[in-house]
Amino acid sequence: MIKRAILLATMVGIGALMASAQRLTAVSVAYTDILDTYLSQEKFTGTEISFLSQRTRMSDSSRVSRELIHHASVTMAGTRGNDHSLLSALYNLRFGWHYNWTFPAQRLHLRVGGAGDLTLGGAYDTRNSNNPAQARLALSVDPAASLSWDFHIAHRPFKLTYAAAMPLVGIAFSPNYGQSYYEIFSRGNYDHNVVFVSPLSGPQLHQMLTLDVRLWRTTPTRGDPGRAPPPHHADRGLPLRHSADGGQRPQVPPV
Amino acid sequence: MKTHPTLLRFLARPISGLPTRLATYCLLLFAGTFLLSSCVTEDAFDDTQKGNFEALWKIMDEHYCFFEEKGVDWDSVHAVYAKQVDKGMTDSQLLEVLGNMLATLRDGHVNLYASFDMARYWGFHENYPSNFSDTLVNKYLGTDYKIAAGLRYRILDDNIGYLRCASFSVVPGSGNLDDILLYLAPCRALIIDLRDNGGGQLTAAEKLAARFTNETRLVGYMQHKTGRGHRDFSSLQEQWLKPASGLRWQKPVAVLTNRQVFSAANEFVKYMKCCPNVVQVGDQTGGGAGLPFSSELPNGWSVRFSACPMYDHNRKSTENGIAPDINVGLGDNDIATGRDAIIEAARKALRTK
Repeated sequence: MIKRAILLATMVGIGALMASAQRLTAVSVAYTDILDTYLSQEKFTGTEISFLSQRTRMSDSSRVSRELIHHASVTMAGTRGNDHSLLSALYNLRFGWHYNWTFPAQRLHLRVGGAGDLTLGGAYDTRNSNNPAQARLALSVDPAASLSWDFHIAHRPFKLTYAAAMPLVGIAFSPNYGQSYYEIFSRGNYDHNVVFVSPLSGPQLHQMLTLDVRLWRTTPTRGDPGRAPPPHHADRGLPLRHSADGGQRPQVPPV
Repeated sequence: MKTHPTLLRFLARPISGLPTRLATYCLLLFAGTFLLSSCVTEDAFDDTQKGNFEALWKIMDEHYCFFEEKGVDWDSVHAVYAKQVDKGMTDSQLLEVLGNMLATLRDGHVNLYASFDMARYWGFHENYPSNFSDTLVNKYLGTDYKIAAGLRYRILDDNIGYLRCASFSVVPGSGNLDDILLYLAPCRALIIDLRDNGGGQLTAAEKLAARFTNETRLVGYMQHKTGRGHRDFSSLQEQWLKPASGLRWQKPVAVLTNRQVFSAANEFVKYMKCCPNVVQVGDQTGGGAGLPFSSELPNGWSVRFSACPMYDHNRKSTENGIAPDINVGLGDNDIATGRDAIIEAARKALRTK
């Protein structure tokens, strides 16, 4: 099964709050945890560096806000036995709308809506022969929601926000269980390589937990963005090179 | 985890109005999904002698493609070799046991790589005469032969071209092949000496074979696993060999083979046997008709295994090799006389074509 465990990050960013717009730009360093059995039966763990840009706009006369999120990340990870054997890069774009509710008594702010979700990227295992990589290409529609809570500590305002988006329906590229990229791209042998994605066939969840602290006109943010699992079906992937004889070990006598 | 009283109060409030109700349910759904996401796991084996054995057995059980064809009962193999794994074993002893287990598959594409050794099954050529001598080939090539893209070639004294192709690890350029065939164009026939070619890239084999057909030909079939079961395969997909757009050979060809012709080289022979005016001379090829994938064990050892089976144009497996049209081997006196019996048999066959 291909899965990606929850990604936890320590994120430091700067947010700017205005009457009708909110901006968050953040760079994060994260611990990442990847299980992709197309590449290896072993779990990859390592470090992810990512860039997040979030823009939220809402006019004063409307309760509907518009949100644009760019999230790009680069990962270097390894297994128990082989350090630094996986390189990965991902880009995620989400563009959505939310309906906003405010509950003054509880100092809570609830947003519920939907988003278009595009993911591009791939992972490369430096040790494999004909299954060295996994491509990520997915397009989906996500229900999305967030809940914010305003509170004060020592007369200083804080804002705790949890946001989540879950791809509900979409399509994704995915090689079949034991299908090689050679069959797909050199032979043109397609085997259900564009697959329907739903929470039942490939559950995913984008999550972000942030704590905003108001300092003058900007708001430093500390948070934990999470993503689990990736937009791919079980046991599927995209190898990028092909040979009938493993090429990663040239010292091996020819077989 | 203790829930904050403010959140509890909010959740305890009567839900009124459809939008608010929907919003609340959505939030609860997300929270539930968050909890479920932690359930996404896979069996993880300990990095112990037993754990590594079980991990290897499972990888092969779920991904190896020739259990049925080779008649191997993998469960029985587990029963036999699990008893031989002991927690006090050294890594060298463990590699030996795991290697012996893999050897029951009799597959040259199955290897287990440790930092100090590689477990392998090479019975497909070690149990047979090599039928190849560098010394003899060098006598035919001389010292003034030409080299392009790793291919060595010259014109023999009976006006037959000789092309030595020892590997498909490099994909020759179209310009390389044009120049080689242009140089050999005056020859009456061509010998492609493939002996000891252990494979490489399938695209290299296809590119060379595409110089020997003027029409698109069905040369075989290929499939892949679609699930963990030993019989979970896709339908057979046709392999078509398309003629190259550059210079193409129109005269007789002899392909020389021995038991070390394996993997992509075995595929090349499969393609060539579908082309006109081609004769295979020498010994049977070594086979290797499963495109190999890789995985790894908890201790970091890499395992390679056949994953995508390939078949000839009659839907017959070539995993155990391809028989020659003219079966001939090197003789005891060939080295002494400087005469390669397989090359000579090919020359004789080409002269009569």
